[in-house]
Order: sequence, then C-alpha cells, then structure tokens
Amino acid sequence: MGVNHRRVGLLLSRYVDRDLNDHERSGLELHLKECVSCRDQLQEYQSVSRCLAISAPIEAAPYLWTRTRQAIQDSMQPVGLMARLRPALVPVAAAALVVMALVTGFQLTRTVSQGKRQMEIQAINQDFGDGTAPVLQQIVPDDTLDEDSLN
Amino acid sequence: MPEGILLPGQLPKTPDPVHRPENDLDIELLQKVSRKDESALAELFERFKGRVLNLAYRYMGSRDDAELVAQDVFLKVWQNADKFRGAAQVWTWIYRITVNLCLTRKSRKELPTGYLDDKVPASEAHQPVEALERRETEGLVQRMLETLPPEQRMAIVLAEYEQLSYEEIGRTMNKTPRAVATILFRARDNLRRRLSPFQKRGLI
Repeated sequence: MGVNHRRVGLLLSRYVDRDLNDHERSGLELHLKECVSCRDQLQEYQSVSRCLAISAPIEAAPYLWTRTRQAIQDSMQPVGLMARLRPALVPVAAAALVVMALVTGFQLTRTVSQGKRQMEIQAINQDFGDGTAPVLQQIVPDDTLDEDSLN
Repeated sequence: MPEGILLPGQLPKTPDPVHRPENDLDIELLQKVSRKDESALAELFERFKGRVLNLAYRYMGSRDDAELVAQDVFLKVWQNADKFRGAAQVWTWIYRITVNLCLTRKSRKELPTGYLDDKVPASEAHQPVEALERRETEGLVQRMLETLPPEQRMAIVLAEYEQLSYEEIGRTMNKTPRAVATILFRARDNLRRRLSPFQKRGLI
C-alpha cells in the first residue's frame, strides 16, 4: 500500500493509538522500513507518549467523600429569597457604589474649585484702604508666560 | 418508573459494543441514587472516584482543582441520576460530566495552573535527585499540555491516560471517531514540536 506523505502524520498518530486495521497497519509498517523521516516522526510521537506517562496517578484523599457529601447536603438546603437574590444584588450594589463615588468626587471638585475662585475674587477685590478701585486682573495661566510677556 | 430508566438486568435498546456486566450494577446504583439513596451514591463514588479524579487532575493540572471538579461531578450525578437514559454506559455518562465540568471550569481561569502549584511538599523535600527531576519533567509536560486548545488537551488525556478507544473518546466528547483521530493527530503534533527542543537538549 502506498503512503501519502500528506496524510502520514494522521496515520502515525492512529498507529500509536492502535486504531489502524490489519491492512492499514501492515502497509504503514512496510513503508516505515523504507522511510527515515516517517520513522523519525513516529519515534517523536512515541516519545510524547513516554513523556506523558511520567506523570503518576493520584489517590483520592479520605476527605474527598466528606466534602462531596457536604456539598450535596448544602445543595438540598432550602434557599431563601435573599440568598437567591444575592448573586444579582452584589454587582448592582457595587455599581451603585461606583456611581456614588463618581458623583461625590465631581461635587467635591466643583465645590473646591468654586471656593478657590471665590477666594481669588475676594483677593482681587480687596479694598487697599486708599479707596482706589482695584483693576481686575486676568489671571494668566503659567503655561502662557513667555519671554515677550515678561518683558 | 421514569421513562428511559432500565430495570436491573435489562439491556439498553442500543447495546454498547463493549457491554460490561459491571454496567448492570452501575445502572442499579444509579436508579437508587435517583431515589435519593445516599449509600448508593457512596458506592458509585468508591467505584469511580479514582478515574474521575485523575481525569480531572490530568486536565486541570492541580490536585485542588481536580478535587473541586470531582465534588461537582458527583453532585451532578446526585442531581441528575433520573435523567440517565441508558443509551451509553454509566461510566461514559460520568466521564462526559467530568469532561464538561473540566472544560467549563478551565475556561474561567485566567492563568494556567502550575503542576501541583509548583510547591514541593515537605515530604518530598529530601527525596533523591531523580525524584525531583521527575517532578520537574512532570511540571514541564503539564505546562506543554496546558498550551494545547481545550479539545486537544482533553482528547490526549483520554487517549494517553485513560486508554480509551476513538469510539469511547467520541462518546465522551460528543465527536465522531474520525474527528477524534484528527484532534489527536493535531495534539500530538503540537506536543511533539513543543517538547522537541527539550528532548534534543536531553532535558527530558
């Protein structure tokens, strides 16, 4: 039986799993005697199996049945209305907290900046005692200062 | 008697090609579980705990996760025993529950777990070098397994560790044997390429 090298990987994988029928297996084994690259590929697949086999099985701990039994008993407890609603209430409460924090923060920022503005206006409008009406000065942001304006 | 539940000794309408006498006992136990007989569940637990736990362990990569999956498997068996129709063997049905729970639970995790969480138990701290090297190799292989897509990882675990046939893997994963063959080939090819650098350097 001729072997199509495009499909040989699939055949080799099935060979490792003993999934080939007699005819397929004998044809592949005949091909493997002559084809080095396919032999190498098969050895790599078998090496994968050997690596996986290194991992030893684990034993079930004695507490596993106790915990399983507890889970079953918990599942049979009647669930109250609040317990049923709780999964939905938690994200709703969290979202409400976030919104409140944002609103409070916004309000605080406004209050502080309003207070600051008031203080600045008061400072500007402060009576200098000589009856001179003060000139309202435009408060210039620092980043607009340049050499020309300083001169 | 709920529809689809078999009486003891009664064969399913579509007999499994590999009918096992043990399956009759499993069916009888499952019928008792459907009537909320806890001792029947305890017996089913004893019969399948090793296979369920190790299937979950190979797939999830940690004992803690595997134990959680195993608990959930038998909880689902308890809750759904009345839904077993008898078209497949009981162990196939339990395996399918295990596979589905592993796939669901693993997809929720953001980071792959390390092999036994990378902790060396105190009991092994003074083991010979060979034992520690084996442990490192196990960790490497487990990490390589975790790089596989979920279907490939599960198929490899069922083929290499549980020694299931393509038909049995197909029944467990709801795939045709031909699809299982393709999935396994891709899984092996991926593992071969990923392990090759370590093998060439003699690390495994």
